[in-house]
Amino acid sequence: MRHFFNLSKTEISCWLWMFSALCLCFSPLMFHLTWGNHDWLPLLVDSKLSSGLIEGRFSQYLLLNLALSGKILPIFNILFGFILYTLSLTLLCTRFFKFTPNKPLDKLFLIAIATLPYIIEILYFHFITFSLLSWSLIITLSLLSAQKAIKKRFVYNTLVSALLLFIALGGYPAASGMFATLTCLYLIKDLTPKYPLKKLIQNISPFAASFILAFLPLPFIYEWLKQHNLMIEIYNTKPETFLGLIEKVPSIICISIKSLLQPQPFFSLSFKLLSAALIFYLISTVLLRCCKQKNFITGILLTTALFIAAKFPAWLVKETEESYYASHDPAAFMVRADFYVIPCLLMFAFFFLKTNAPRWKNNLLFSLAAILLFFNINTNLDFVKTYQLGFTAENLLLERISERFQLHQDYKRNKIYHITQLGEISTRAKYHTPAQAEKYGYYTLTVPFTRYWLANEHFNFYPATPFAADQIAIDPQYITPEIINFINDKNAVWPSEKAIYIYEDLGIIALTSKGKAPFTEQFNQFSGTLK
Amino acid sequence: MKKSLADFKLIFNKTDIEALFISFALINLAFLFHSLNFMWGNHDVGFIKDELLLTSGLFEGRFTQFIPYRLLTMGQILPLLNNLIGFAFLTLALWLLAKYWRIPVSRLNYILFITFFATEPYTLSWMYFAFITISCLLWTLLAILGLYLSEYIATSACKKTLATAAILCFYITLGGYPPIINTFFVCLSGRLTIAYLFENKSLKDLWHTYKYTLLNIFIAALLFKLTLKILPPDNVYNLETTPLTSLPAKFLTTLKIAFMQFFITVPFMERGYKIILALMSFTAIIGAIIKAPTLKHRIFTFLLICGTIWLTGLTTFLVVPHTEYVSRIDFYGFAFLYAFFLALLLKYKANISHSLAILFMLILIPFNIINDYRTQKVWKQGFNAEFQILNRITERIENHPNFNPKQKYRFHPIGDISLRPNFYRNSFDVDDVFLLSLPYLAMWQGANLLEFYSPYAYINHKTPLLPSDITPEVYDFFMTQSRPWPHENSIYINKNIIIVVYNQIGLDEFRYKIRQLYPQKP
Repeated sequence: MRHFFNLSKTEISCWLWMFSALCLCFSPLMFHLTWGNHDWLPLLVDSKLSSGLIEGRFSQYLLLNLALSGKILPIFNILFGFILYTLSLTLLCTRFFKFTPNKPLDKLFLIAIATLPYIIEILYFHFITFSLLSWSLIITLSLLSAQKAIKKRFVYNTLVSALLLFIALGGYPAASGMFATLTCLYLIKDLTPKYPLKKLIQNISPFAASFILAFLPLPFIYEWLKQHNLMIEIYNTKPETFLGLIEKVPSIICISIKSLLQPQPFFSLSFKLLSAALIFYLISTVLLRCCKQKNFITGILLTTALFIAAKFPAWLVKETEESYYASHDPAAFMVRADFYVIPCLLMFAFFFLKTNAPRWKNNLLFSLAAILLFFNINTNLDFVKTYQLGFTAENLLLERISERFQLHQDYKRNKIYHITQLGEISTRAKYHTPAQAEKYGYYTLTVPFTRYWLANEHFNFYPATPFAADQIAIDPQYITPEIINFINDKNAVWPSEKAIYIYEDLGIIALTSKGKAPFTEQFNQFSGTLK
Repeated sequence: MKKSLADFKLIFNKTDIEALFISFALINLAFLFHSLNFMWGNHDVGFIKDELLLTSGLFEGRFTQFIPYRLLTMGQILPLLNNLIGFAFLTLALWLLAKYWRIPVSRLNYILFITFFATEPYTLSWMYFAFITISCLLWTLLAILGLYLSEYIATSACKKTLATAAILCFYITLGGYPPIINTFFVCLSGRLTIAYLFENKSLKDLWHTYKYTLLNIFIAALLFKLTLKILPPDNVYNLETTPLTSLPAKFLTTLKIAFMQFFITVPFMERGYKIILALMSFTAIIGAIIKAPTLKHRIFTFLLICGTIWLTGLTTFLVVPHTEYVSRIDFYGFAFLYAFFLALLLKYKANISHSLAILFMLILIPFNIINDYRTQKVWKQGFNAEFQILNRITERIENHPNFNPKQKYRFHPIGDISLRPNFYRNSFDVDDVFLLSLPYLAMWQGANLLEFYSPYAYINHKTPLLPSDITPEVYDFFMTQSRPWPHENSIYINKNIIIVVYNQIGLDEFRYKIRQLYPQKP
């Protein structure tokens, strides 16, 4: 392990450049503690080691507990995360791919990579920022171990690699895309004329073994957690069947290509075209080289594998088409999954294409990197602006709702109310000028800072004495003519004065008609049954 | 390219790079609080949400104002980056000015010169409005580049290219913010004084070299005027020029104003600070008189310095609106005069002069930074206080029984609220709106402001309050019951209109307008 962290001067310089550039882009976020909709409670209560079990993420808080005792701290969470993330990029560049980034042009490449806006979604939830950023380093170490196993102490190094990958996957399974993509890129880089099959197998085996060993225990762990009621069935933990995986290959390749071109909030068409151009330039160069070296089939296989690897989480997960997340935040277009793949891919593209390239190609790559950096800085700060303005707007709204609730005629001081929040109001999109044909952007733009099922967390956050408790089911004792009127009154929605209903220890806050409608339907069915 | 840059001595050497980096870091330190706390002025509200277009400045004749924004930030006002880019331009501009004025090349000299100028509170006046920070700091770079290139025309073989580039620099800057003309002439006059005093140039030599600069500025100004004719801007306050007949009288008024600037205090530039600046200026002038070898030289040097001082009021001389003692105009003129005096102190060969320059800078740069931080504190407190009021107004509107977020209301704010002055208790001779008294909740931006943090879009931005909106009920309410904020009758909502009364002056004016419209109850 010491070997991996014995950094040379060049490596330290690269690391510092990338780290400084990232800090510069996100310093307004670092210096102003802003947080996502799951962070209200973790801000008050330290995250325990077991806090992630509910979603099956058993190692999610391991590093956060080691580094910051499970706390969300201003500056530190992001800063430490950036340190680890940029270190991982440095190690990938210098140790895994063995590029030598000692020229100013190389530094520009690395800065352009480090500041890629795929990181913005990672920064939305403060409680996982640090761990999500650190997985890239853990996976890098796993890859380096596997790489070492090719030549030395196969079993030991493969096991170390598998263990590291297992920890990373236990924290965030979608990070597996990084391991898969980088393995493909490693094999591509290593392609030589008349590449013997034996060598390919020799090279691939530690990576494959590590991958299988790391993945194998996951279903059993999930099953065990579910059996002991520690984990709930959520949208992204159902694995695809073997046949399903084979069936999905063509569609996943298409999605992989489509996602390179699909504009998303903060990823304009120009940005997408630029990065896609670089990736296709890389692929065509690889195929051309393979063709010359009579390795065309290997080349085709590896590039196909690369496209699948780039969308690895989407390939592995069984997504129900009608589910809420499938339409709002589909696995194939998750920016946080791309975060583990696209920067590595682009970094490889820059350095691979630069190697032995004529001057005009270097100039072209320099221009591409400079334009990419221009996009990155603007996009990152645009995200920061949107995030902070939306956060302020929604916190002000929260303040107004809380005040109205506490001024309600039926509100009694020192009483705790079971709050039911109907609907959500999201404001970030107000501060964003959408690019043409952009889609998705669930966490980067549209999700509100206050989720309806966590009402007690955000309503208790600012008041001097807490007044909100968990939502409860409406028992017959609560059914009065007033509640029936309130629920059936379509106009009793925020900001109307009738938007808040309080009765005994029940508090209902109707924020939107859309949020109120299903509740009204359920309530009427329920009260009808009672009648 | 490299050769051309070398010909014009524009290649960065190690000293330059070090000086630039250190100065840039110091400038950012001076304004760090502002850079990290995203604040914006009352013109910015709409632009923060949407984008700046190339045409956004046309209505007031500023046809180049948003080119830098479109090129550098894709038309967006971005936190941090706005200041960073602006400071980068300012740092480069001052480095170029140091070269133009031939300040002895040393890391210390350059750092002192750049940092002193950039940290003066005048710079803050360009940070109040976030939508022009980058452009208006870039103009200094272009203006000085124009002067720098013009100087080489006399000796260069490619006269036409240089002249075209210089004219373009002047033209773009004039198209962005015409008072930049102060910078042209103050810096040029400073250069003439330096050339006369330190380079033993005769007046004839000076004319021979610098006639091209004058000609380029003249051509650029002519082109600027022509452009305004082609793109007729709306008739706005800041384009009215002084009639020719009034110019002689205004010459003397300008002279008086130019000299009074040394002593008139404005917010965040108080008596003690101004006295130290004046002392530095006086020392530099005495030094120039001593340095001049003969009586004739002394007289001419003195006249050139007086001319430079007068030129700091050039905009005041040329335009009808009052621009004297306005920090953002002074940024382009008077601040350069202080820089000129510092340059003189740094240029004198006597050791005492350099020591004095360092001594003054040891006092003035920290003084600048302290003043900057006081300003930033007051701004932040004012910004928070005004936006808190806005939130309380939103709350009242949302709670109002007549309010329905699905409806579109015609909105009319009455008066405005400025709270920055509440957090600044020191006295000053002349107020400066940009540094202190301009409200964030400006009346004419009321509609944009009200919707800024609101989840709803309920204002009809196309139609203002109509005469037909003044119904008998509205008339009665505003004539008898209405009171300024925070009175419960400061907000009026009916099915069609929302009216917010911010202050009594605004309410009185509104009542007057209603009476003019309807002498009797409608």
